[in-house]
Amino acid sequence: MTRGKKEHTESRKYVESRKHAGSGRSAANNNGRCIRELAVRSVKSSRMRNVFIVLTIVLSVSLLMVMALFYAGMHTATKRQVEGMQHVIYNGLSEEQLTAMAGADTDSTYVLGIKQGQGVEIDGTMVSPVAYEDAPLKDEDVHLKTVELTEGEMPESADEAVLADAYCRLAGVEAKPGEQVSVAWLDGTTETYTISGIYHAEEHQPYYNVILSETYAREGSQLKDIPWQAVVCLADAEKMTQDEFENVADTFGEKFGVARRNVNLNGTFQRSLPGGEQQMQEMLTIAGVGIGILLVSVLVIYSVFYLSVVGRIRQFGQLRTIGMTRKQIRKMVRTEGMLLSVRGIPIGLVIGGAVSYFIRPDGWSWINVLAISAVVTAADLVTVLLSIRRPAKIAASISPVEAVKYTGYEPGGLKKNKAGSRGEGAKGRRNAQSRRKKVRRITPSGLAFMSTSRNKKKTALTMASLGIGGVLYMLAAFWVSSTDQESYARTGEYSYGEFLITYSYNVVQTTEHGQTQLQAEHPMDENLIGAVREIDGVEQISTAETLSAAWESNGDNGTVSVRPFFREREESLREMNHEGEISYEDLEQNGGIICTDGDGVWRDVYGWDIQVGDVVTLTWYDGYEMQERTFEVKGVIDGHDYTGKLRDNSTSFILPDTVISDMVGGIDLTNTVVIKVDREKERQVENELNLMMEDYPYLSLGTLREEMLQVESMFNLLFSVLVGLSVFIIGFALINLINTLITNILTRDHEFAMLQSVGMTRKQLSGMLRMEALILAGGNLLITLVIGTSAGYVMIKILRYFGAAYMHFVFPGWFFAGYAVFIVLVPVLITEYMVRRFSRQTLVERLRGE
Amino acid sequence: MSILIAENLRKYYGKEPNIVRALDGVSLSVEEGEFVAIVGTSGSGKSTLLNMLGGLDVPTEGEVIIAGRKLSGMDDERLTVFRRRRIGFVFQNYNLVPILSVYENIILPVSLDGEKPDEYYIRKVIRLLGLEDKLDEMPNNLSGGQQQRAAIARALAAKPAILLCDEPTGNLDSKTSQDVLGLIKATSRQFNQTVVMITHNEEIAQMADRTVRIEDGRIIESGWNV
Repeated sequence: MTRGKKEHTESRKYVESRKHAGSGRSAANNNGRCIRELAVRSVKSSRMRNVFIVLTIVLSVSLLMVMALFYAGMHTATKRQVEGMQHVIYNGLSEEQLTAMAGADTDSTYVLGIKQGQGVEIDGTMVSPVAYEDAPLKDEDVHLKTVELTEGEMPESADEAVLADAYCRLAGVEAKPGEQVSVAWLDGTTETYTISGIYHAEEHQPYYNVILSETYAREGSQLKDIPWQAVVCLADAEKMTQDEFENVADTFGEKFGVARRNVNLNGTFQRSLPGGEQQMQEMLTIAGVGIGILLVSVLVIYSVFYLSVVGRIRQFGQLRTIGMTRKQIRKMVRTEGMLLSVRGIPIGLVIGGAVSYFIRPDGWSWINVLAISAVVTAADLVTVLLSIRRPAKIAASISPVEAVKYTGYEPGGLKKNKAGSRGEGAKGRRNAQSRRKKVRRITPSGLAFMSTSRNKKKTALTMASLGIGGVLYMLAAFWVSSTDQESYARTGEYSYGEFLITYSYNVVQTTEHGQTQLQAEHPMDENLIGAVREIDGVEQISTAETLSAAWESNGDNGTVSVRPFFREREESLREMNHEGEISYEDLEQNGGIICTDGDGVWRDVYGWDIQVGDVVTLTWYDGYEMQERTFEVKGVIDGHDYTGKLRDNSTSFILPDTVISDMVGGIDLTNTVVIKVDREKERQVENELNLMMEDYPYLSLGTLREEMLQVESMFNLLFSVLVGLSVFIIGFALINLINTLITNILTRDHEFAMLQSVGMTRKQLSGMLRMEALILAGGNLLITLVIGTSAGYVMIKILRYFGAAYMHFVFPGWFFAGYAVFIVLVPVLITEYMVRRFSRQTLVERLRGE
Repeated sequence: MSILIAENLRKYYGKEPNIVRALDGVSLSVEEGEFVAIVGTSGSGKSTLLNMLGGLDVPTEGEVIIAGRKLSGMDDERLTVFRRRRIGFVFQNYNLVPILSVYENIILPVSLDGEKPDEYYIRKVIRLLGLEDKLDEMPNNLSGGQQQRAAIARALAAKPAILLCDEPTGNLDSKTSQDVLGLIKATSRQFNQTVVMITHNEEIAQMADRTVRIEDGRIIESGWNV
């Protein structure tokens, strides 16, 4: 009764709206209002469909918002960050050069002198003395953040210092101005400072600065002999491209006699400028993911609308009967879509905005939000319009007569039957005789298969839209499962073992002739290696040899590690990408040397490329005195290839082993011992090695375990982003699945009532629907498994091709199992719920409900 | 022997003072093999009565007994099973399952029971109803009369105790209506099938053995047709 009354009121409203439409006199078809009214009424009448479409829109809008705002926020945050950062640091300056830089030059806007002294390793953390000038030499409305004090003031006298709160905890000092702190510097001097201020730093950083005063910079033991560095901001650098900036910074340095190798560009600032390759890649990735999200939305909204239109075919037929044109029907369906978008988009914008704010509050910008909201709104409106184009066309194409006969099933099967029935008489009888063979199994499951196969398009569409979600989910899962964190940690020397013994940094830095002197006096010889081999659990020991030397070439100089080249390695070196000739004999006899160069690193640092024929002068310590010899570059090997194949990323020069051995008079040049152990005994070996190290104070021990901890924390962030993305993807798939199931059941209420009227029990109905749902779920799982696995395989291949050697194809079994359980369980529960819902209505009502 | 007994059936909707008495104390008994037509105007309660007789709806009061079994004591599951085994339905709008062929529709109640159809009997029914050439067709490809004949065949497939027909010719033209009614009558004779049919058409009702007239939810007349 209530329903009847409601319908009556609705129809009266409709008549009124018709009246209004009619009174519009512009008989030229002023029907917009009427169509809108019909659309509004239709939207009001199908709550379930609305919920699904609005949810889908909310999900896609919020996901796009979060993604775009996160990316924009990252850039905004970087921009804000670099606003307070230097553009370049020029190293190795004299007082005069520094002053000249700050002179009347329009190329720079800010110049501040700083000094950074030799760091010292304290309990695995590097501590360096740093001093800033009290005031910048030049400051044209630029405010750089040097140190942000949380407490106290910058140091003024030579015995004052500013420390990080985290370092104070490490040093066992209360982080409070006025406290005293002592630091034992690398040269053996221990100095005590009064803390004048504290700045905040995160715990477990690899290094901390002890910030000292300008007075200390000029007089203090650790800094007085250290050259100045100039912290510089260049004029209009924000408007340059990355390449322009690099050129301007170099030219500026040259003007004051600063060599290119002493120009230290601020990479963060440079990357914030346009024109970078990485920026382009990021933009393309974001655009790709965005299009992917929109594509999934199109499929979901399309399928929701398709089902909604199919469910109302008779209604459209009635409207056509009373004179609604095809165009008007299309317009009505489109208006319904727009009305739902108007509801969903603002909610999505708010949710997306809020989530982005919480993820990246420092990147929040109203301009970004407004611009991105406008783009996302437009993109989603287009998505909705595209999605409902076809359903609207279907609705418009219905003729009143077809509508009465419409059952929602594709005529494919019927055509076949028609063809079969064309044969009359004898053929017809033959058909009848062979009928028994054609009769399919009429069981609840059989009916489910028939229903699914009769609606191939609908079934395929649903499976495809669900499948896309599944495939995206699998890609994320493959990423997680195939990332071998240990393999990542093992990309360097750890590829040969779990422990690394090297010369201690502090000892190397404080020994007059550095590493070579240690190699001469405390060789990593058989005594050490033998002792290591004795430890239970040690399986294999590998060593690496290096000569530390100074080089000079093309007017520049630096320090470098020189590796010995063994005759048996000749072939493997030749197989690498290289220029020139790689011949052991030639190098040995004619004073040749081989260099490595990856990604034009020489050009980046020194402004020239190392080439075959260049002359390199090496200076080294031979155990007694410094030696010097000149070599000719005979070959240049691609650094990537060299590092990739030999797991060595610290070598720049290679010499034949006989030559190098001759250069140092036979000193054992081993500087790294890599220990491979039985993984079961790793902890025990670590303890023993630690104990052993106490006898070798000039050595330090590195462990894969510590390396893994760092890698883990790095990947945790990436994985949580992937998991977050997966939740969204599954959200889409779920909405789609639930909608499909519910709509499918609701629109076939009459059909089910028919089946029940001829004796299908509720249990059988339940079974049939469950089977239909499981067919969908099965299809989805099959797509997810087959296409997802193939896509995952290709993704891993591509990632490996681009250098992610730590990715190994591992099927994400648990992820897939979880997804499968989810995808199977949801339909079963939904079906059960819907069948229970049916029983609230009597069979007669449902049979009449048509 | 009475195959169908309805005792003091009442079906009320709503509450006083707006109560609607769709059925108000109907008692009826139908003998085996009898063809009874229930006639009444629109809103008289005839469809409600048929739904009660077929166990599609539950009476507010009263009892329906078919082939000695009381419907009121059965839960939904048992009632459904009883319906598919003992009651055949023919609806005005045919209610054929669109995804099944004519033959599959016909054997549907038997198949749902997990039984094999009695081919000999089914073939007799099919021949009687003239559906031999239409068995592999889908319902959508059939005319209204053909669909209704398929619906009658389906209703008879399980050899029900009683065939309930709800305005079976309501959607058909007069010529086809005559054909369909003739077939219902023929099946009643040939298979000694009890048939209860409701209609608002006096002329159609005359084809039955007996006419029961219903008005405002009460039986006002019951008599044999000559």
